[in-house]
Amino acid sequence: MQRLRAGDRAALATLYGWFGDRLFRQVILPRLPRIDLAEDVLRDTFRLTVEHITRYEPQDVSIYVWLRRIAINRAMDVHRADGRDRRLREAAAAEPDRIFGTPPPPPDRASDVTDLRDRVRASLDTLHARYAEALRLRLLEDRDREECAQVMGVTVGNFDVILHRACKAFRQAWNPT
Amino acid sequence: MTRPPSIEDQASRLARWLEAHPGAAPPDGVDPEVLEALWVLRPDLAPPPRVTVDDILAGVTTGPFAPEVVPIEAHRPAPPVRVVRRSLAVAWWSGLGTVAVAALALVVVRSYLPRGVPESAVRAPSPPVVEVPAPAATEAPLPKAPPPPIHVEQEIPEAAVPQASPPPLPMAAEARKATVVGWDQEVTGGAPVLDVASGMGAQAKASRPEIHRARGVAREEASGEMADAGFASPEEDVSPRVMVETTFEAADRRAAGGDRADALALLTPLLEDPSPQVAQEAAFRAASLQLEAGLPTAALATVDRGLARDARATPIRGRLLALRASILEALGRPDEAAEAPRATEAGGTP
Repeated sequence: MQRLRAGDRAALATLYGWFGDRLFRQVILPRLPRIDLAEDVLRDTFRLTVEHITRYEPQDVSIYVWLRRIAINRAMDVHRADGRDRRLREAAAAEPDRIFGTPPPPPDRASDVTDLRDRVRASLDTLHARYAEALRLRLLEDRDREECAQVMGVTVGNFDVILHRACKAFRQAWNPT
Repeated sequence: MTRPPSIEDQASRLARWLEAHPGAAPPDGVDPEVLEALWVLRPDLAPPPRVTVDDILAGVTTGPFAPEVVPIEAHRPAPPVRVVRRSLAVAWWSGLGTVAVAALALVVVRSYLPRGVPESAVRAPSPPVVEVPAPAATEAPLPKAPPPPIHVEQEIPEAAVPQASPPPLPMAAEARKATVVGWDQEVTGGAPVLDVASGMGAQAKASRPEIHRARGVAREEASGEMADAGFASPEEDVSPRVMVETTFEAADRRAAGGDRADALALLTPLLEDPSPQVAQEAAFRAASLQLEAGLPTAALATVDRGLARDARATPIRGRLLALRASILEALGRPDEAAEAPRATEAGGTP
């Protein structure tokens, strides 16, 4: 920590090596599942961290907790902005006069994802049962496709298509906020 | 126009990728929403982030990892070249003046002499022209024509100062020499001299000696313009504002000629100007050049440096804030761009 506060680049590289990939996969991507945006958030997380490193007071907890909090906030901000942009684009294409005459929604900072697992489970419950089963078997339980196909009573080719459609349905149902 | 792959084709590609290449780049032609669902449920299958420590540091503007900003040099030093030009000019013209006075006196005296008196009897015992030493390097008689252009780094030949000349300029020989040496040290030293110009990137860093040379020439140009405007020497009472304006104009010409690094080198000393308005004006101009050069991060640092000089609501501060918003937009930080002016005007850190 002293080296970080002194601006030691090697210390930053070490910190990034320890936590960069973990933050990317476990914190950012589940909340912002777009690789390019997630990479931006990862970069911003470390940028904000080193910019304010002198304010950090370790209180018997790892700096990872601090990094994680920054990453979550940043990911949610970008997610909301991206969602707004997407909705705006879609709505503008449909009703340009109405959407541009409406003020933007107020920023929503109340929610914070504390348990992704529960939210994943909740989203799976909204899907068709076979889609949810395909996702659980193949991705959450990590069974191979032949076994999945056998459990579901379909051919391997059919299972692949079911899994593909299940992924698309899940993405439409998934909302980390 | 190619048709997108069928659902079956996409499903097959996804299945093959899941079996053989998890962690690698995802397969082409698969619906992005499918991949996004995959990253939510199995982020471990995603490719590693393409973010490097350099990427992180490139965006850092404050804190211990921010690009170092160090005052470049003393505020508005008296360019030694002007001293050289002044000293030698005084020497030449003093010498010529002495010769002219002596010749005139000789003509007058001769006109009052009887015809029988030999010319040698009235010749002045030690004509000033003999006493005025020529520049040590040449020993040649005084030229009729004006002196040739003087090289920037030419040292003042002490012997060129005539004994009959007006009182010497206040800067002593040691001081002049020290100034020249200091300049030379600055050129060759390793200190982060061009902190603003360093924003020009590796190219500027690689050609730092060239930039220093260019800066010397540019400064001489600015100094020469001051002489043309009636300020022949830095020893004279030159208004700081005129000096600043001249520097800004010289920087503008450099920038208009495409020499952004040179323009930045001229502007950089003014970032430390005692006048906050001058410092902020210099920051605005330097940041604009950096932004034009495709260096928004460095431009942001320069703007923040200028904003830190004075928190009062002035026109130049307003321009800096507007520029800062533009830079933040360019950096892909529109939210901060929207909040920055309000935060700063409220007294917060930009």
